[in-house]
Amino acid sequence: MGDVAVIVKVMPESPDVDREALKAAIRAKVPVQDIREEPIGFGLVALKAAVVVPDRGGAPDEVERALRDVEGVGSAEIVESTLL
Amino acid sequence: MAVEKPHINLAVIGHIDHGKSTTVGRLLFETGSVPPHIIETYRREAEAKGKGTFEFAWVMDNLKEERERGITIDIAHKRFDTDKYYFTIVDCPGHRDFVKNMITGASQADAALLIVAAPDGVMEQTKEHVFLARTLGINQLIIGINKMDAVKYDEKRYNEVKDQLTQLIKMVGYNPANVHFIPMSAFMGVNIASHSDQTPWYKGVTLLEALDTLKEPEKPLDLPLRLPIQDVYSISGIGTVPVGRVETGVMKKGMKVSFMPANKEGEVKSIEMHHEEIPQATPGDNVGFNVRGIGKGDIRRGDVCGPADQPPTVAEEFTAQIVVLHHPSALTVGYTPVFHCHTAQIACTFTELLKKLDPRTGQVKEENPTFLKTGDAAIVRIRPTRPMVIEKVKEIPQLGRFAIRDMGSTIAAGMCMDVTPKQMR
Repeated sequence: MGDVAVIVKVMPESPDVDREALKAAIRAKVPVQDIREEPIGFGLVALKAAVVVPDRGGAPDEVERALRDVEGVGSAEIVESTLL
Repeated sequence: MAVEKPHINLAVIGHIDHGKSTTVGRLLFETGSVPPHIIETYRREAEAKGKGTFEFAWVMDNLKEERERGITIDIAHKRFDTDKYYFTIVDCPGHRDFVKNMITGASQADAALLIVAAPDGVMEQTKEHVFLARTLGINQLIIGINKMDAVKYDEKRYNEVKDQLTQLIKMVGYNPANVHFIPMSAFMGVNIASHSDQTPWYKGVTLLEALDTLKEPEKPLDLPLRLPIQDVYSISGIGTVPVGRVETGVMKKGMKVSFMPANKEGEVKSIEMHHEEIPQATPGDNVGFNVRGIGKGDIRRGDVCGPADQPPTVAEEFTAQIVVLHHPSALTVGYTPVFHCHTAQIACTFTELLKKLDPRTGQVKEENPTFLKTGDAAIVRIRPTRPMVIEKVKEIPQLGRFAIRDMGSTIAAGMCMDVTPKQMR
């Protein structure tokens, strides 16, 4: 079994969440390899995080759940996945 | 300035160990898309050791090592160019738990490259991936019959595997006449970029030529607007702002919209993307929009926004074609797992098992079967336990697909064939 690069789209709970603090909290919780901001509108900015997970059962759920548990996160969802 | 070539998202699918990754590596290598520093390092090493020629295996190992060291958002997309297009590749993970994300995720593949090893022929995952490709709405397919070197480039073996595959793809609704079958060896570089004298009996296209015969994807602009809600915000000084990605149709400022199954109507006051106000949003756009007449509590994730005069369809019940990817025992009437469809997650009950299909012929194998098990394809009737938007895959394919999950793992995937709509007014 190989490894999978997933990109998780993380939405903050509100536009008032401190983005830098949120990025730090995400990095502390999940071994994120890259984070990029994707501005939406009305002050809302999505964060896209690249994470490497093993190609096995449960792996996508685990990373989504871990990110949803981070304070300030409204939603977290894998939007792309590709084998390394 | 040169005009950017049209873009195609290519999914590489197939059974484990049939050579998907090697094919991806070979495509990058042949199109000059391997990073120059890797080629340069190799050149230096080869010179030091007194070797003159490129070894593809070395390049593959180093590409993989580099990606393992650090992945960025950009290089998560492997990219290569052909004469006509630029491609980004999704090398599909093997585990079925990633299927849900491929159905509900962002980057819909425009075409699939199915890799099948000539010595093995059609295997379990080959069948599963072909069905999934169809369910995901990937209508363009290329088939690489790989590892031809391992069968000594035998035309007879190629034709046997081609016949197996022809049966399989016919069953799920691909027309074999529109599909290129290519005898190839990704590892040896046979029939990838140039015609090989190892297969003098093969008169068809190379893999790169086949990729250039694909059709450029069209945005589904002519379908009615469908925007599944991802999140809803209440922003001070502005009001209610739902966020989501336009799947089909066009959202315009001033438009009267309906949210289903919430059954609420409002008017789009403004639309923003990349922090700029835009007059309209089209398929693929990730937007936030402000709606007059809707409170934050009125709508939620899983609702779908559409035009007030063509509202999204709420299903009383629906019939679906499914494939059971994995079930520990047997699936029967009364089973109520969770359906993941666009942004909705709703428990739905199997109320009738109508037909079991034969994966080899596509014919009905059994009417009204009593149970379904792993590997079965079937037509079933489903009743959502609470209101849910789903559309016929023939009318709005983007909202007609779903993954079925239970106890934290993916059980099945399917598409909606027919809907009995619930009267909402």
